[in-house]
Amino acid sequence: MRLPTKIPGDSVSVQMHHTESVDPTLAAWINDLLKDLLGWGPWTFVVVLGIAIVVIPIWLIVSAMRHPDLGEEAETDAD
Amino acid sequence: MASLSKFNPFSRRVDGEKRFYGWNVVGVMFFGMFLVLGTRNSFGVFVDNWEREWGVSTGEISVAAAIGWIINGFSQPILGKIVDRYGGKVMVVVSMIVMGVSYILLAFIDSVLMLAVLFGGVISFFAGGVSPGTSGAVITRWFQRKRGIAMSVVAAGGSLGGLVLVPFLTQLMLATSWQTTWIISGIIVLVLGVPTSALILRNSPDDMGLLPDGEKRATGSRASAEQQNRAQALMRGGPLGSDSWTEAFKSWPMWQLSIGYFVCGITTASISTHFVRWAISEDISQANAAWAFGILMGINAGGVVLIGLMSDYFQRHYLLSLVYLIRGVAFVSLIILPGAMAMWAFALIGGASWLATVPLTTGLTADVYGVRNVGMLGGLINFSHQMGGGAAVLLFGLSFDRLGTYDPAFAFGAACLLVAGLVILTIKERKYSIRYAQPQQAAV
Repeated sequence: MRLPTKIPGDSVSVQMHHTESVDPTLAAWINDLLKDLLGWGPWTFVVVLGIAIVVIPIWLIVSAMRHPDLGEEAETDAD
Repeated sequence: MASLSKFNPFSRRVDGEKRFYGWNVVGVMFFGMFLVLGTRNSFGVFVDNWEREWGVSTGEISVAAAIGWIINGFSQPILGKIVDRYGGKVMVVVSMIVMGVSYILLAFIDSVLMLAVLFGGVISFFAGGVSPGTSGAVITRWFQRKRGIAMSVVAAGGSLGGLVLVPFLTQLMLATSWQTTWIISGIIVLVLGVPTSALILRNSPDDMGLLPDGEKRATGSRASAEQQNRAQALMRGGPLGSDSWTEAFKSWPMWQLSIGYFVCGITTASISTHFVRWAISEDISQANAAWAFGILMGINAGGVVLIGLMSDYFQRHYLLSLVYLIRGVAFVSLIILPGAMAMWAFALIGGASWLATVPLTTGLTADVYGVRNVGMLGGLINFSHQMGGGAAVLLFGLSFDRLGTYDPAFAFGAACLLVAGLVILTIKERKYSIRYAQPQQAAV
């Protein structure tokens, strides 16, 4: 696999903000910068960032399940 | 230290009381925006592979992205209306299921037409179900006094999603293939996003017998009646609040907010799309440009939370006006400063204002028109953002092609931001917002 390296602008490129895509060239530049900075291989990035992605929902679910209001709601439903 | 804890908006326990469940809802919406915007932002990473494998041009793939842009704009008021009527939970869960399955299906496509149908059509439509507009419809039911900070945390989720998921999926694609990357994206949404939303999300505090902002239930009959009045006022909004969303268009604030967001769309979409081309035209190195964009996004995530927090203590329209004017200064810096210096000035000044418009605009919409129709109205205001962005991307590109410089386009952007700042400044928040309504007025 390789990342895009061409310069956009020769066509009507509609890659947007907020809810749309990162610029492919910029993504390649950021990727190069991260590689130079950390010297990690792709799998190291995947594992480190993957852990961060998985930890958020686990923390959210544990935090909510321990919340007394959710417990009261479950008891009310059971009754 | 005890007094400090009272100023902590996320405080787990204040005066020995349990943490308000609304913050769990904020956490879920934060993660929803993190996942949905993060995965959608990654679209650009795949473009080069599709071009090589399918033998198509960037322009052809951009058509699929453009279709997605338009459909996402149209979907937000439609899905916002559904959220207003049936609540946010079903919309968020269904949107995530559809998006997760569609991401997996993306791994099996082999043409731009299928990309346009799946990504431009289905995914972009349902992404409107976990957008700033629909998130606002959920959060504004849970919060009134801390609406600004709650909305800004959710908005920051979208920004952090881009910062984390884009490099994650980029590296995953380098390690595997673009097909595997889409399949894993789908699995992440289905396995992490759907259960989290289904288990934790609640449409409103009323569903759990709670009150907005975690207010304690009053015991006396008079205090209880006052509390009920306040809850009704939250739904109804200020004096302009109405059962019908169409009534909002007969008043100035709706138009003022839409004009502001239209300009927000013009100025953010144009920079996102033309940043690389501008950096190359100014002989800025790749590493510097990557650093500056990363710093802009980092300041963006911090800036939106800070401004959201401030908006719970100050009039929101003053802050929103300030945000547009600060962004105007950032645009002027692109014209008057030399290449690399302009880029750093823009990253630092513009970063603080990049996403801050989202919680302020949604908060003001709910304050003025109530939360009954905020999904629909927020969706319509977002629609104006999409239209402004779409038009600006084309106009900035044409301007550069004709003139060989972005300076006139940046000057146009700065002028638009000045106008937006002044238009927002004229919103009569004290007159129309429920935050400033007198108790007897709120009880009407």
